[in-house]
Amino acid sequence: MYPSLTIPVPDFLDSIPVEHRKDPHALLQILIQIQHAYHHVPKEAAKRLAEEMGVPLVRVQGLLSFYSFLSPEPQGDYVIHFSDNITDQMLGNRGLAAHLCQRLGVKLGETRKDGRVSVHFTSCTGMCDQGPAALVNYLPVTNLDQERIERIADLVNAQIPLQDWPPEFFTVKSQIRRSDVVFRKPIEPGEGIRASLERGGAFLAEWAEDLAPSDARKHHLERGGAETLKEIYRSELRGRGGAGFKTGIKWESVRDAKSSDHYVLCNADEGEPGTFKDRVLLTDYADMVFEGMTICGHAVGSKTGILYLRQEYWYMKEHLEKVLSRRREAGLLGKGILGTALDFDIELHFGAGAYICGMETAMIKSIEGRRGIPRRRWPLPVHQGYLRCPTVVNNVETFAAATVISAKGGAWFAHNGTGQSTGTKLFCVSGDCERPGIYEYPWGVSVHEVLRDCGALDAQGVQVGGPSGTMINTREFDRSACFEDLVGTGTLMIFGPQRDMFEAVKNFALFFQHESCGLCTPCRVGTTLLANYVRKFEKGCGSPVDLKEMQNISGLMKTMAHCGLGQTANHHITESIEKFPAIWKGRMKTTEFIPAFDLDGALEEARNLTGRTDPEAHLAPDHAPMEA
Amino acid sequence: MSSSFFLDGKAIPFKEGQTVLQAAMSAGHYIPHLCWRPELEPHSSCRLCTVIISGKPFSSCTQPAMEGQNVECDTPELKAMRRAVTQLLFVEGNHYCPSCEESGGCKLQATAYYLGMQDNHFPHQFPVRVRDSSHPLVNLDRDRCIRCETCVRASRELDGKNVFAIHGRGIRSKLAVNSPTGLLKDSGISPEDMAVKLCPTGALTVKRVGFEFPIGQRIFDQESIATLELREYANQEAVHG
Amino acid sequence: MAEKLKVATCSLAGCFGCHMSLLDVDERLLELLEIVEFDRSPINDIKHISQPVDLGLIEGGVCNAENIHVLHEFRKMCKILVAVGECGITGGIPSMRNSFTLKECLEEAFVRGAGTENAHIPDDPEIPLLLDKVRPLHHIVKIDYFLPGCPPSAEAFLYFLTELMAGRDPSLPQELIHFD
Repeated sequence: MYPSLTIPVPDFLDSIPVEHRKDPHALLQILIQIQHAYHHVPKEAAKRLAEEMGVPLVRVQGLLSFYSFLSPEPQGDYVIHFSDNITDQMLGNRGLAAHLCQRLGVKLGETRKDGRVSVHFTSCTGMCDQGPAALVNYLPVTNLDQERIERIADLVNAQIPLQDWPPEFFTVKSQIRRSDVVFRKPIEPGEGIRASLERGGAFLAEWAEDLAPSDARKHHLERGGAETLKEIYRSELRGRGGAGFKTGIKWESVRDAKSSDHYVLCNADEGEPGTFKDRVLLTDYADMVFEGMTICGHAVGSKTGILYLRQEYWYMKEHLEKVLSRRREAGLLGKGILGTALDFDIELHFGAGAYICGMETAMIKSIEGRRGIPRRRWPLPVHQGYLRCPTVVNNVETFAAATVISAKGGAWFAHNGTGQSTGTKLFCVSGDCERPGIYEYPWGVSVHEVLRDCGALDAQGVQVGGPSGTMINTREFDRSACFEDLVGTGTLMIFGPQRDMFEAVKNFALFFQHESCGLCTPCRVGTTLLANYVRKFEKGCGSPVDLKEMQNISGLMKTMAHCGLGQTANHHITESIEKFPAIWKGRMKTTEFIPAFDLDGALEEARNLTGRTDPEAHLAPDHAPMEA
Repeated sequence: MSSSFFLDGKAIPFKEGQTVLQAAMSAGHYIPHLCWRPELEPHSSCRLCTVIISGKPFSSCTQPAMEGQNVECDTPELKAMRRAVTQLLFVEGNHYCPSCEESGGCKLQATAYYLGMQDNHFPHQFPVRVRDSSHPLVNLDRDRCIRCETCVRASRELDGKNVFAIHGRGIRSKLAVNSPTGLLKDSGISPEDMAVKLCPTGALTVKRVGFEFPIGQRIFDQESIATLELREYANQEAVHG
Repeated sequence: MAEKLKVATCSLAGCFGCHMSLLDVDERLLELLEIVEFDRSPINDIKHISQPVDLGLIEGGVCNAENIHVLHEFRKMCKILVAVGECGITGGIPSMRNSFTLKECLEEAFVRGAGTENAHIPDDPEIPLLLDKVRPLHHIVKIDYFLPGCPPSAEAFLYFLTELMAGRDPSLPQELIHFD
């Protein structure tokens, strides 16, 4: 069914351009191609790549063991990854996955003996407003239900190729439920660039007399870029990825940094569970994003942009490549943009399954073909980023905003929002509500207002900004989404009155344990200990001592962890203890201290080995395990 | 005019380009650390050297010293957190100090002593890790590995060999050996390698030389890690300037 | 004379080395006996704690069902419970078996071992059943203090007991902390 699965490995590698095969920076991108072709990376391919690139084999293996979607061992002809965000779980993904496994006769996490199919869970795939979702051979399937699961089982068992599956399975909707000033009337392709270039125009006439044409064109370009930078400053735009750094300052630092090359990286890793605005922006408004990157290139003096997408968005590759070539044809990308001296082009790079790659320095390493481990703090990427050159890294939504600012002016943009949070923001709404999807509001909108608009007035809690963000209860619904109050990626996962918030806490704890990169001690060990404590409570065997320990570990991670992942991977613990104390109290024993493991269970192995059943072969069985 | 910053209120002079940790060590103030080595690029992964500057935590091994800044280092809170991070290292691995040939010369152990660590506090994980005793002269005991990547960096930066790398992710990450079989015996390792010499624990040891000194005469029986590291750093500075 | 401090001690999965080290205080043992009184302890062979005591010193980790019962008795009867030595604090040398399954361990010892006749894993109810893993004491009950060392030196014991009896924090100075 998958002809490429049977292509001899040497032939497949030969088909990759030799300059790629010899470039270690392309290692990850090539491994992704191999993974897609063979549904794993054959040893033979890993070995030959290492030789051709001149890198140690251990480095290739290092990538295979780091990125979740790369596998050193063979997978099925059909590889199915169920999205396992809490929103998927609330829509019943666990039962559906179990049913599919049963229908297919395969164990979760394994490949069927005949090599036909493998089924796994994966972190949130960004389809929370149309879940439960899964990836089948790296393509999203949405709105899973019993009926679709039955069909999928039949299709797999009948070996029907993916292109003959019902196309509606693969439909991904952009459910924009509310537009405000920006998306009510989006910027036309070219409008933002033209405005940016024209900012240099007024000065051209004065120079033209004294300068050679090529110098005049260069000055024109630089002046325009500088003026656009001023507009960005005027807009007071702050990064939309969560941290909220002032975009103007970032761009100016890169513009001022001396180097032969400067880079513009767009972060579409969008791994924060519950977040899917970048997916919608790149589907419906890719032009605005690419245009923002081009404007940034103009402002900072860069010729190269890279859009880094999470593996889950592989299905957009063709669409995005089409938009890029259309823009090249329209003179909006490539050499001499719109007839000026502006050269700028954009490449697509993909991740391969690692939440940490949303962290800018980890993303840079991933684009360089390495394991996505956050690097040390200094030097900053604006001075030494991608390939050690000055680099702007911004979120998809930030670049889209830059296009709006260039076209309409910084003052127009700053008119909306609050004092420290200008403009509008896209909110990703999912969970228990009538109308999940994307909502555009000016910054400062209250949670209550969003809940009213999406039809979720009976919510008991909302996770704002994803698992690393803030968990709020009904008393906080008048809080507003802005950098002054509830910051984050604009993600709202809503929990109705029927939900047990403990399930969310457990989902987040296991997510962070899975996604910790392992570099620093507090996060590597802390996420595991927290997950173990949560499991202990799950068994109803928590104690007040454990709660104190969890808060202690959380504080340790907050202060001592290397990067934002570890510093925030404990919020769900501390906030749920504070705001939803009942979910913890209900899972406690009354005693002060409860063992870290099930005493009687620890004798089970010896009982089996000796066949003993006497009273001395048992211990009071009222305790539960927490060792992983 | 030389510049200076304040470490717990004491003025510390520094040279342009020095990190907080380097300047502190030059001035005779020890800041606990396990992944930092003067001869290697800083790594900031063990997090023990974390200090507070203007209310925010930074690893002092990567933080550039800056004129006039106030650095909090030996506060009771930071001391307790350093001890807790060290305890995390003990419970995630299998550290059988009484039977380890590195005991008494182990920097993990000596750091724990320095930090007043009397127990491991957290639940032990008892991971099952694969040891590699394939090489005739060098032993790799992953039970004792704290993933500081000192050997990874030393092999690359000092030995020019690239013998080691980290594989996997999170709590499952582990030290991997660059050889066709993944075994040490088929790698380019040699007992003289800095990768082996600089390992702060007993993860990488030279065979047949263990238990050289009786208890009472080993390095850290005689002096604390702070004294030793400060002296070594001063010697190194005297040689390399 | 002030009332003596009532002390109980025991060794679980340990080697009695910590007890030996306690006896290593030599002639100072006489001074010690002026101020402490031993309840259950291998030193006097009393099998169970007769009444609530002030201080319990436990050597060794927990490897079997009997260890659990003893540890529970100590926690119940001791006002202050101290994990003494590496095995009590970390599981120590006995916990090296945690890298193997119990089956592997028992088969190695009783089935495949050299010179075994009628090889089988012992199943006599008199023998305490082994836990799947050897664990440190703080995994099972709340431990109030830890006295590290393999064994803790006589000086460390004396320092610890003196400070504790004086009502001070018995944390050891750096030079007395040892894990071996």
